[in-house]
Amino acid sequence: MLSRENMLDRLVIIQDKRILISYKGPVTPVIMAEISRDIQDKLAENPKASRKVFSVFIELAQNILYYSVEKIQYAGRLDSVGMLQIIEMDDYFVFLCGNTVMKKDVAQLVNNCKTINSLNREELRKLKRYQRKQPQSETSKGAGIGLVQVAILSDNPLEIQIHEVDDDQSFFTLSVNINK
Amino acid sequence: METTNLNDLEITGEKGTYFIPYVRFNAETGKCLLEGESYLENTWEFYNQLKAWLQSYSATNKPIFLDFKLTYFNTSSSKGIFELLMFLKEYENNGGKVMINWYYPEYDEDLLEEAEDFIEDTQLAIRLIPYK
Repeated sequence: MLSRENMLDRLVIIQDKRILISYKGPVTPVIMAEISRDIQDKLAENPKASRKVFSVFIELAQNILYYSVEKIQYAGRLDSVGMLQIIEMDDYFVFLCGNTVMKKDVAQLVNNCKTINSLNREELRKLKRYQRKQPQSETSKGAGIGLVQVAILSDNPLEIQIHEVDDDQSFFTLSVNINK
Repeated sequence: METTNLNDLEITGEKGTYFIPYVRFNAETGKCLLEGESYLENTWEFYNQLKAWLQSYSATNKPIFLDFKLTYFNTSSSKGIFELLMFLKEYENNGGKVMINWYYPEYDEDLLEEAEDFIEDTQLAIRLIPYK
């Protein structure tokens, strides 16, 4: 299964026509809007999958927007950098995203994903409802339930990898399959 | 019956860089419609505005009818919607009459599940209405 391979290798070697999106660079609201429109156009014939892929895209792209520690400055604007890729397989879509994180935050991130993967659908719904009731966190710009929502929507485990960048930073990739 | 100087709340929906829902809250009839897609730049501000209107309207003690027709909302919006529904539950608990219809495309089980989760959390009797 593709998802067992090294995700960065996969990003480089895949060369067929089934790449819906492949992007690495500044992730801004304008770019997100363009990509999301493109997803909806391309998947228009399958509204159920289109809705899921689109929803997963928004949650994970927002995570890059809010949490990537890699920033790029142009024209006085500071944008978050990240990677987004959607590949179509026979029975499912692979959604892959990645961004730089601080090493000190990796353990928490990995733990969150492990917890999410250990829960069944009903438990995930409970967790989402629990998190939604919490007061808005000062450190979180969103509702802090994006990853849980991705697991619910996809009905598949979150597959993560950590690649060392330097002494302080790592590159975090997350891949999830979305059934057709 | 008590009256307020409350105006209708109307927000034109927009699907540009962000997705702004179409909002039409009627100050005469208490009929409130939330339609379209919700993915916003200032989610809290947007939903607080809706909640503030409902709070003002609730001073009339008249029934509130909410037609919920969003086809997409991100998780941040879901928190805003939760706050809105919790306010309606509070109004109901204080003797107000609340009727909520939740419309969803019949293929969209995720949207149905969202509604079920809101029902579970708020204990509101939300009517679920599938459409083709």
